[in-house]
Amino acid sequence: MEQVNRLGRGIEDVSRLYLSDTPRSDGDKGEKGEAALRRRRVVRIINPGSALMGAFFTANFSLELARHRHRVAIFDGEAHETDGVEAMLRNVVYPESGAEVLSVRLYGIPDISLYRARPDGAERLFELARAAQSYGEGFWLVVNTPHRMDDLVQGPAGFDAVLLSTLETSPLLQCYAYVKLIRQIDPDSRISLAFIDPASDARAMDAFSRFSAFALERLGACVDYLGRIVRDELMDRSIADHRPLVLCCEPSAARESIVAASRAFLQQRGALPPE
Amino acid sequence: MTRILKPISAETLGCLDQIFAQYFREERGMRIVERSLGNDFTGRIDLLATDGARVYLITIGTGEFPRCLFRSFTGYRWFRENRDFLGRIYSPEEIDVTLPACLIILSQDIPPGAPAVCKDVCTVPVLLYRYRLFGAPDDPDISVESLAEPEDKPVIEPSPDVLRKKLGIGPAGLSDAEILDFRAAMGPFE
Repeated sequence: MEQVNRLGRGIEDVSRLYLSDTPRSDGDKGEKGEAALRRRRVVRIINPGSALMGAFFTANFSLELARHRHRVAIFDGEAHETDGVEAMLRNVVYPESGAEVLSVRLYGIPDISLYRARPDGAERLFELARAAQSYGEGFWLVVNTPHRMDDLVQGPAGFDAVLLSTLETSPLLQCYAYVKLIRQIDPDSRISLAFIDPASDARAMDAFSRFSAFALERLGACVDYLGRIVRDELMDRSIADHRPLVLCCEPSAARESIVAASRAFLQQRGALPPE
Repeated sequence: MTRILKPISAETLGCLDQIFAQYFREERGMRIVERSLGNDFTGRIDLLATDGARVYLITIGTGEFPRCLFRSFTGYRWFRENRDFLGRIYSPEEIDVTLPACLIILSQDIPPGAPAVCKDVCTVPVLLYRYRLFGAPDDPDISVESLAEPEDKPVIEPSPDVLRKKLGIGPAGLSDAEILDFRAAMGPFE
């Protein structure tokens, strides 16, 4: 792997991570009760329309969970060299000694391990999913899930899902199909939906209202709304530079939208107090 | 089919231009700039309208279709000959008469194949609308139907089978009805 100078991050990057609004003690104290035990520890990120955007969201979403003092591991089911999660994190990830696991180490947040699908992806995912459940509260295994429904059926059950879609009918139908499939695999899964770059909040809300109403009526499935992920120039640059957007310190609507979606995800699961 | 619910009496058939002006304004997003432009000898345009991309010369036919068609053509010729004059009368904010022209003909008896014939032989686009009168003769309702060429109609959505293969959603087991209902529920977005 190409050696990258990782000491070049500015104080603003570091400060942003240190200035997490989640008290450090929360991660240690954890949650109690039945709800915490029932909570899934595996989160599948599914973007049927774009592998690149799925990997991008996985990388940044994971960093945001870590910023809230959660321990995070990433499994990249896509593992594509140019548009996988590893590519998105290339500037902050390095191989652990003697292992195929990569690691993200940043000041102020727990280390993040990145597992690649190859060569033994399916087995490794089962192992990690089992381990994730045993780790219990405060830990998340974030799985960048390629759009192959058969793999999902054959993979480990017991996961939550974050679906990403544009407002076009085809990817929305794909998301609906995922909702149905996930309900068959695990009726207790929590499913969330975020829209990629819709024209406006109003359009996104309208689409979500219709989508969630249809899913509830036909499948009895409740779908949570994570908001809309905005695209901007900084997002494109962060992808091109292999530098996670949430680590960038310039003003960015895209970064704020990912931060808000991650926060909403944790709040909906009771892992973060509502604002 | 778009139904105009506003009832009219037989005596008010002369007000068709107002009713159709309302239709094109509300249903097609056009701005009606002028009514009854030109004259019966050199050419008449019943409604002059624009949507910012085109100029629409609307002919409202109350007789046989060939007469409506001829009236529309002469109206178009009048428009071409008087385009400079119209450009001086109307500000560009009202209507930009240099925009491409499009003929619209409303008639009750448009023969089959007329849209295809117009497309083949006319140098400007011709949109045909069939209108019908319903109900009592002294108090009819009006419906309007666009007779667009097949390629002008909305793209035919792929069948559920094609969608399942194309989108890779076979394992979810969505039924045909479910896919069609979903499409209907979500409607067009972007």
